[in-house]
Amino acid sequence: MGPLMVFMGMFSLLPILYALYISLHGWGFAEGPEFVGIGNYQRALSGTDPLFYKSLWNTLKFVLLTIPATNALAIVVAKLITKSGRWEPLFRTAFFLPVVTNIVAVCLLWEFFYRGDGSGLFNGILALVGVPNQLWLRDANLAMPSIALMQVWNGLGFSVILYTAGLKNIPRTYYDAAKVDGAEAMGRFFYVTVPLLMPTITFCIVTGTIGAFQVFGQVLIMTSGGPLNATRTIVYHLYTAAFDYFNMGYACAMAFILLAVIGLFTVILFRLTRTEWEY
Amino acid sequence: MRKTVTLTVLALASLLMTAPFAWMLLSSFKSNAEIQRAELTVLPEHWTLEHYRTILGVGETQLAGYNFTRFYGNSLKVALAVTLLSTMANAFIGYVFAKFRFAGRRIIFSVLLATMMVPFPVTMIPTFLIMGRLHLLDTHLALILPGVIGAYGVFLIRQFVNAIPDDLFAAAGIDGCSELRIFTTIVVPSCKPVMFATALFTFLTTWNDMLWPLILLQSQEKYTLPLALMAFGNQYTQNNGLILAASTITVVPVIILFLFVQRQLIEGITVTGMKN
Repeated sequence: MGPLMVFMGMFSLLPILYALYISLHGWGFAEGPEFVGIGNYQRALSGTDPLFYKSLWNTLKFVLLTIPATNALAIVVAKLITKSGRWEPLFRTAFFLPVVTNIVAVCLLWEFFYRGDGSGLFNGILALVGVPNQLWLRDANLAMPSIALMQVWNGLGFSVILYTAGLKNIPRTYYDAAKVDGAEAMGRFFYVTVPLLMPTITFCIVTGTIGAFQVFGQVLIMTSGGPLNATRTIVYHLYTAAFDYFNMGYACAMAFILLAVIGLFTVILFRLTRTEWEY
Repeated sequence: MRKTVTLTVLALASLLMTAPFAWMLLSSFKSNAEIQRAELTVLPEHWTLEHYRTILGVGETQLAGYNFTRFYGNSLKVALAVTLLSTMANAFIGYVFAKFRFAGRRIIFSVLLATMMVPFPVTMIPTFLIMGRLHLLDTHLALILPGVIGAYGVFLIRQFVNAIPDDLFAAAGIDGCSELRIFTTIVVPSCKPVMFATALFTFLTTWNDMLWPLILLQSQEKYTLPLALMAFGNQYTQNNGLILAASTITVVPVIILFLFVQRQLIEGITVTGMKN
């Protein structure tokens, strides 16, 4: 057991403590660590590196563009799926396929759809309604929404699975009682389904938000943070700081700031989704 | 009537979800000229296996340094190793935390749970530097090791072992079973479904992981599939057919595997989701 514990510590606790240590140092590849105190944190938070706040803001945009849409859609789809009877497994599979696909293949595929000339799928659709070709991933205003749209498609199935399970846990009797009381379908949805589904909603939104704050692969593959840093997210920014500029200390400091932001959002989301009533 | 509307809406939505895959698969059999054309065609006009022949190294065009059979082997090796090791280690550690009383048990478990909350961007740089110290950069071993301890798996197993009646363990103890024997004859059988589900999930996430291999690996012949596909996509930006064929061969086996194990995988995700 001893060796297992040591091994466990080495790859769970040690890296976190080590990261903290690195973040307090000027740390390049060639030169050794040099203690700088909270200098790395200051550099990020004081705005000395203007790209820090920009990437934080871009990341937040990504979270806001993906999480509400994904969850709203997933609840509706899950509700429909629970009513689809024997077709349920088939639909579940269809929605889950993007989840099991590796992100590189997903991005390469969607790059075809987002091509700026007439051969792209989305420009083809726009042409049908008479809108001129768009540059999508090469347009600073459209790049982030484009990546977010892909992400909604890619991540939807995961939430659908959880919501389907959550919906099945709601006892039928609540719906029957609401019907007897004369509640319409809409009323039943907002006064029975949503409150009783709250634990699942909280779980999906919190885990989804934690994941979305760490968005990286999509921007690395599709835009390299561009155009004009419009898709530079915080993890992409710290990745380049660490592995392109070999500034490990600064990168670790940014990672901890990200951790704090994620923690703050988690607390806020738990507060917001707390139900005051019990059934 | 209501049912028909529900089914129609779901059928259309499912079509939207799966259409990109269908397009990818069908277009990988098209010539480059046809993929590039402005009008959207569904079926290839002239079916060609040229792109697949090139990728698998049996065509006229040779690709320097891209041996996809090898990348498959790398991915399989890494994903299987992580899955097997982590499933066993997590089950054992979970069992220890559930049934053994030792000094600092509570604290160690809390620390373990806390580390579970810390996202990978925080730990990737120190883990990379630790691997450097261990002279393990650019090795598959370094790809495998950090994935072995999953606090999440430990947590789940602990929950399940806690649900096993203590009497069973006491009886086994009286019968003179060793700890290892108790582990293999009581713990493993009763946790089998949850172990299998987490194993599937671990396999899938390791197989699809891109970030850790990207940081760690330098030699192209050691690349796992997602990393190889990324490098390939960067190098052959203009060759659409090749990119689509390469994407297809990384995606299709996973989808086929998923179709076989989807019930267990989905149940596993549901269990892990609901336990929180």
